[in-house]
Order: sequence, then structure tokens, then C-alpha cells
Amino acid sequence: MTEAANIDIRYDRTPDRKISIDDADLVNQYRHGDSKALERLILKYQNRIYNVILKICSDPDDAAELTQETFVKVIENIHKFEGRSKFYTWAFRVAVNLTLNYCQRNAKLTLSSLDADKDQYNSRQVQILKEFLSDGNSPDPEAVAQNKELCAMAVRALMKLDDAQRAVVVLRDIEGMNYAQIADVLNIELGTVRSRLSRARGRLRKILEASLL
Amino acid sequence: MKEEMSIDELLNSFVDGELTTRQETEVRRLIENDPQIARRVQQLQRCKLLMSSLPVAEAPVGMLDDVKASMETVTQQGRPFAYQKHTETKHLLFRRMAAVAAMIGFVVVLTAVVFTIAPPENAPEGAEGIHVPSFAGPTGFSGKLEFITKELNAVDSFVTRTIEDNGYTDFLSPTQDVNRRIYFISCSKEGLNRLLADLDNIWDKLDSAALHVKTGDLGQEIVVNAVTTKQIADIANQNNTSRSIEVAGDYSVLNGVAKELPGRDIFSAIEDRTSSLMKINKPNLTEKIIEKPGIQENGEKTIHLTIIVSK
Repeated sequence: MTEAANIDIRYDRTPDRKISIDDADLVNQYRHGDSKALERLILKYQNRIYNVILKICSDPDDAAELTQETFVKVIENIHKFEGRSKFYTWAFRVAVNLTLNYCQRNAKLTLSSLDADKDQYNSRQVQILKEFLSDGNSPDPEAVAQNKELCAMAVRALMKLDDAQRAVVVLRDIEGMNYAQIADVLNIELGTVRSRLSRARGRLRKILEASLL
Repeated sequence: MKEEMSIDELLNSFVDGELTTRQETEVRRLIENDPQIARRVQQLQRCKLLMSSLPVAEAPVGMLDDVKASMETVTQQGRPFAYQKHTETKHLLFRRMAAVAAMIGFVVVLTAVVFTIAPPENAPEGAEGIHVPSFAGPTGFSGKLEFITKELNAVDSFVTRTIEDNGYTDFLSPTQDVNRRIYFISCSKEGLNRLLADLDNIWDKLDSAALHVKTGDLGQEIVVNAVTTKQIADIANQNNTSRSIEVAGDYSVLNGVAKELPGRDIFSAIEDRTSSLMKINKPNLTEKIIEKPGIQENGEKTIHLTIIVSK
């Protein structure tokens, strides 16, 4: 089973949905006039693409618009899709490129917003973050996921990364892509993925630790 | 693994499961022997856990519809795309089929209206405006026999005498005009056969003889041109109306084809007065029975025949 298929299972959470028609088959069916096949592709990926875009751009309304635009572009260019990469990575490439362009256009607005949020953690939030980052305990993943304050701080930290670093963290840790897929989506070398991810996590750690001071 | 990979990149790749087995073993050995490396790996794992624990956001409801709407907007701006091309093709095909169906429906309705207002061209003029009276009792075959002749008076007197001889004087039409005579006859099958046997003698004085049979479908009728007495008897003597209509249709086609044949062999045969095939023998009666109009034997259905003789 491919990595992409594993991701499907993680999102669907329903064992009987593990077996599904391959994306290439759906693309082929659509090319032969079955518009329902395209709708299935949209329904299959809409949440994942929206989630990635939202984690990169942070604005729900803009994320919805960018998701729509992504699918429109995918449909417009589907005749150019040659199947050299998987539909999955091709669609995410469109989504991430659109989102990074959007981020570039709104860079100043984003930075000023982040600066404003710099020292807004209260003592309780600082305590939560300190406990999470302390070396002495081993955090429970479920507890982390349910801790809304911790998640909110994580999102703020993520938004302080530069766009390229944020994209690579989102694709790896949130979307669950492997390095090769990330390289394909971002159209960069595998080594660049390693180094960018390494720097992004290093910076993320510093941002979180700085919040404790 | 390339030589230039930093220790940080190596540890990140370890956390992400992107190392080969040999590299992983190497890192595990480092972690066991170096607390600083172990601590760094732990930090990376926490960072990864924190990010992967973020709640998954779901696309707004109706995203698919929004995408379709966006695509329509794109098309209106003059940017055609594959999805739209497919749907447009389907819509165009559907519109064409609907247009064809509408046209066919329109033609059918128009034809029905035209046939209701104006009868077919081959219907003789004399048939128009003649009211055929309705008759009480069970009804069988109903038809209109139209004669056209130059010898109107001679034919009229022969037909009148024949009808009177067969006891149908009460059913002579009271409205006779100069160029046309109309007779309404209601009788049994047997009575009709006797009448036709007598009328057969007048056939050679007729320019044309046509039998009109109503089909009951929007006022349409079958016209059997160049009809003979045997054919009339054959049509009228069928067990039910629909069968009479079928037989009338067959004779209509047969007579039409015969008329078109260069040699007119079939037509001649039909017209041949001496042919035993076409001859209707008058029944041999032991005594003169005058059948009363409207009285039927054993509840037999009544045959209604309108005879129109015109110049």
C-alpha cells in the first residue's frame, strides 16, 4: 500500500473504505466523459487540500477560496496531466503553489498580525507549554490533540515560520507526505526537503521556547 | 546518504522514518551513547507530535457546488475547460433531442388538427356535410358508399327500386337534391348481401364506386376506391368493427396498387363482371321474405350503410 493510501485510511477512519478506485482510473473515467468521476476526486480530496491550505494561510475564508481555485485549476489542466506523478501530488502542487503565491501577496499583513500576538500567552498557557516541552515526561498524543490551548499555541508558532518552511512542515507533519512526495509537490530536491524541514523544526522549537521567557 | 548531511538533518530523517536500516542502526547507537543526541531526538519527536496533533479542518459544506459555480463563472469569462466541455456536450445533445421530440409532437398534433378540420384529399366532395343518423340497438359495420355516375337518374331509379324491393323504403333520405341522392340503410348481414347482389347490376353504369369506413381515430376514414360488391360484403360481414376496418384497409391498398399497375391486370380482375370470383350470387330463397328495417335476427348487430349517388 502506498503512502497516499495510508493517508486515506487515516482520514476516513472506516476500514471498509480502504479499498477505493485508483485516482488514475477516476481521471481516465472523467476523460471519457464521466463527470461523476471528477466529482468523486473532488469529494475525496477537498478536506485534505482545504486543511493543508488553511494550515499554511491560516484564514478559513481565504482557504475555502483557494481550495475552490485549486480544483478549478486542476480541472482546467486535467488534460495536461500525464500521470508521471500521482494525481494526489499533482493536485497538492497546485494547491500549495496557489497558497504560497497568496501568502506572498499578503506577507506584510501576516507579519504585523504575528508581531501583535507575540506576548499574549497567559501563565496557564505558559505552564502547559512548559510541561509539554520538558524533557522529563513523555506526552500522550491523544491528550495533546485534545488540548485546545496547546494546539492554538502550536498554530501560532507555525505561522511564525516563513512560508516555505511552513509548507514543508505542514506537508510532512500534518498531511503526512514522505520526503519524495514533498519534493514532488514543491518541485525541489530531496536534499532541500531534508534541510528545509530540519531548519523549520529547529526554528519552531526556538519559537515555542521563546514563548516561555 | 550524502556526506554533507548535517547531524540535525540526520536526526530529522530518523524521526520521519526516512533513513535506511543501516543509517537507523547508526543513529540508534548514537542515541544510546550520547544523551545530547537523545535529548535532541526527543525534542524533534515532540515537535512533530505537536504539529500532527493539530485538529483536521474540514472543507466548508457545499465545496463541490462552489467549485461547479466557479467553473461556470470561468466559462462565462471565456475560458472553456474540460469539465464544462463534457457537460456542455451532454446539454447540447439533450437540447437537440428535446427539440426533435418537440417538433415530432408538433407535427403529430398539427396533422391531427388538419385531418379533423379537413378530410384527406382522396375523400370525395360528396361525402362532406352528410349527417349519418344514429341507430338504436347493437351496431355493427357502418360505412358510406359513394357512387359517381353520369347517368344519375337511371342509377337513382335502379337503386331506389332495389332498396324498395328489399323493404327499406322507410330509410330513403327525404332530402334529395338535383345532383345527389342519399339513402340510409340499416339491415342485417344477410339483408346487405341481398341488396349488394341486386346493386351489382348497376356497377357498369358507375364512373366510380368508393366505400368510406370510419376508423374511429380522430375522424379519419379508410377509402376503398374502385370497390366491388364482393369487397363491400367482405368488409361488412366481418365479426367486429376493427376487423372490418382491417379488411377495408387491405382492399384500399390492393385497389390502389392495381390501379397503378401498367397492365392493370389485378384491377381488371377486380372489375371483371364475369369473374366468378367477384360475383356475388343472390341467395336462393324458397319464399319472398321482406325484412323489416331495424329488426335483426337473433340479436345480430345492425349494419348501417349510407349510399350517396352523385354526378
